[in-house]
Amino acid sequence: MLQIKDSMHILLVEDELELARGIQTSLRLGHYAVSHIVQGKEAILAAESGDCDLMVLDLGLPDMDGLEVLKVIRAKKIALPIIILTARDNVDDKIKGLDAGADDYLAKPFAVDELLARVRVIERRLGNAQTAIITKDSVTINTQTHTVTVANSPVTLAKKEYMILRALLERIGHIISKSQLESALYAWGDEIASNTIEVHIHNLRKKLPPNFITTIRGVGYSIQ
Amino acid sequence: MHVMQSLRTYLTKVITAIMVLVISVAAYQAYQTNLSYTEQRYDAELKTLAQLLLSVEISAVAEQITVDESILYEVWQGRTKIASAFANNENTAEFPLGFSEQNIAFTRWRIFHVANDKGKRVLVGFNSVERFAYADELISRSIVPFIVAVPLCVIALLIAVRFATRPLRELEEQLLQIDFKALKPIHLQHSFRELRPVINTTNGLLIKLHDSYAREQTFSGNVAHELRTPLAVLKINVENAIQQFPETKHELAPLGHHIDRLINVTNQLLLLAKTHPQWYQGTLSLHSVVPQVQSVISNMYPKLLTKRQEIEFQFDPLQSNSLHTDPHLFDLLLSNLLNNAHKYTQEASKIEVKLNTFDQYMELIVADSGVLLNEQDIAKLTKRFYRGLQVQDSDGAGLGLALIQQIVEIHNGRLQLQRSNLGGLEVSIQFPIATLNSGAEIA
Repeated sequence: MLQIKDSMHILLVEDELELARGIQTSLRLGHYAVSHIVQGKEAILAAESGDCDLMVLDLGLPDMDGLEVLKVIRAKKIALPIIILTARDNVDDKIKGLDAGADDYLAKPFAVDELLARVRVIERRLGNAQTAIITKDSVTINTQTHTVTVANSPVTLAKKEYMILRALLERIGHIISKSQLESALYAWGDEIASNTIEVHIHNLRKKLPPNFITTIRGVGYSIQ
Repeated sequence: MHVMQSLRTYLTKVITAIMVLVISVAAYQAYQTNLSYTEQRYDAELKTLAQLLLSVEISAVAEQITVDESILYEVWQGRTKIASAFANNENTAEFPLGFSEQNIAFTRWRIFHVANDKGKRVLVGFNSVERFAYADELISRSIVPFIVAVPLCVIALLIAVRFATRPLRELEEQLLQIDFKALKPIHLQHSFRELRPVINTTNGLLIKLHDSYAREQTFSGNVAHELRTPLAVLKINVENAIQQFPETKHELAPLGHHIDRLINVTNQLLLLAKTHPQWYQGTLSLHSVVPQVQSVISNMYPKLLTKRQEIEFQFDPLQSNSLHTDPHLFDLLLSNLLNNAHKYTQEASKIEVKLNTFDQYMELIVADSGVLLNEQDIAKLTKRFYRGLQVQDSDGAGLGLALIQQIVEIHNGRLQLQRSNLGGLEVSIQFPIATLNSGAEIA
């Protein structure tokens, strides 16, 4: 059973003090509790203590490389969600970071909204009640209770339809490709036939307001 | 610079020509000397024979002694011919004494004519043509070895030149194989003293180039860090200020916009340095580009929505749609193309991305329904694409175009601009499908 919290505690590991101050302000304005440390070793100790719910980790730290910090934390089997930040230009860093067990990646400079959106995705995954409800126009989905309402009336969705709708609502204004939806359903443990997504989208549309889901030909689907 | 032919061919040709010339002159000289010597010997023999016949008493009535047809003789006592070979009606008494060339019975003869004070006269002759033929054959046989020696010498020469130019060949191979990404010094197994300065200087340049590239890479990395961190601080603080004090939005929003432009230009400049075809460090490998195109469009979509622009992607799912590329570069390329289409087209415009696969190449098309373009506009735009780095408009878009051009170049591809069916611009890029190693290039 996931623990439901009112506010996440985020640990920011960043050696650039000005930037750290800015990020702290952004996160606090987003109603998150934030602590700030500078050293990689402190970050490992903090992860071990279990006091934080999410770590925002810069890769360039004064005492050790951020990737090393990440590897040590994962080697200790600590499942703390970690978003890495870097000013480096290398695509490999992103791949290395994700391979080493980071949950997400943000390149500096980034928009505050982008950081908050990524924090919310993790928060939702952790089961935070505040972000469990996503509303778009007349459609509301509760990711805790797995319920959907359209114009305040409950709607019954099949398991796969629910997963597709949730994936789309979690990234409003973005396109979710057919293969991304397939991976989401596959992760649910089902074999996917080549036209499965189209069939589910077709059924889903019948239960939602007209034009709620947009098709972007050749790319995927989006809720705008 | 005038490009000469191969040094080996050149040396072989020149030395062969000189050798043939020298041997020919020597053989000709030998021929002439031998000919003159042989003629002197024949003359001496003629003279000896004549004097012998003059001194010997021939008392018998004229009697014909058969001799070789190439030789004639006449022995006269006063007006009586007492011995002869080769009957003829010539009045030989008028022939001058000593050696002379005479025509007798339509044949040319070398004659020795001698007389004594007792009225005896002897005339001995040798057929000139045969005499020359004998001499010629004799001498020719002596110069045959010279002539046979020429091709043998040429073969020996070829081997010698080939062996002697081995270090040059090795140097040529190593210079051709220089990997501009690794820039390792060259090292020859066989070398000449004269080549040492060439190798040392080349290696010196390669090391300098390598070091300067390493410095540039470090510099780029440092610049990336040094510029991005303060830009990140600026951006986050402006956004926080707008969030905390909404009444300042009017003043701060333009600042935010300029910071974004600065970030964009910084990123573009750094990418431009990294994607320079000569310094590009990545490798191209086979990738299916459909998911990549979808991912780039997905990332760009929120931006397109701000101008209510529609986008669609057309491709044939039955084709492999695979290409030798670097996914990062391909992303950059398409992002920049879409960014241009987004920026230079009006609200609610339409953008189409198409992927067409042919036998030899794959075509990526980004077309938009922007402002109506005429041929002149397209020509100007083409020029703008090809002006590369010189182009910089106020939004720094010139850098995006230069970046596109560099990435196309890394792929050995070809970029074309034309008016799209949607009414705006159509940018089409053709990528060769074969690997770059096979030297495939779109003609």
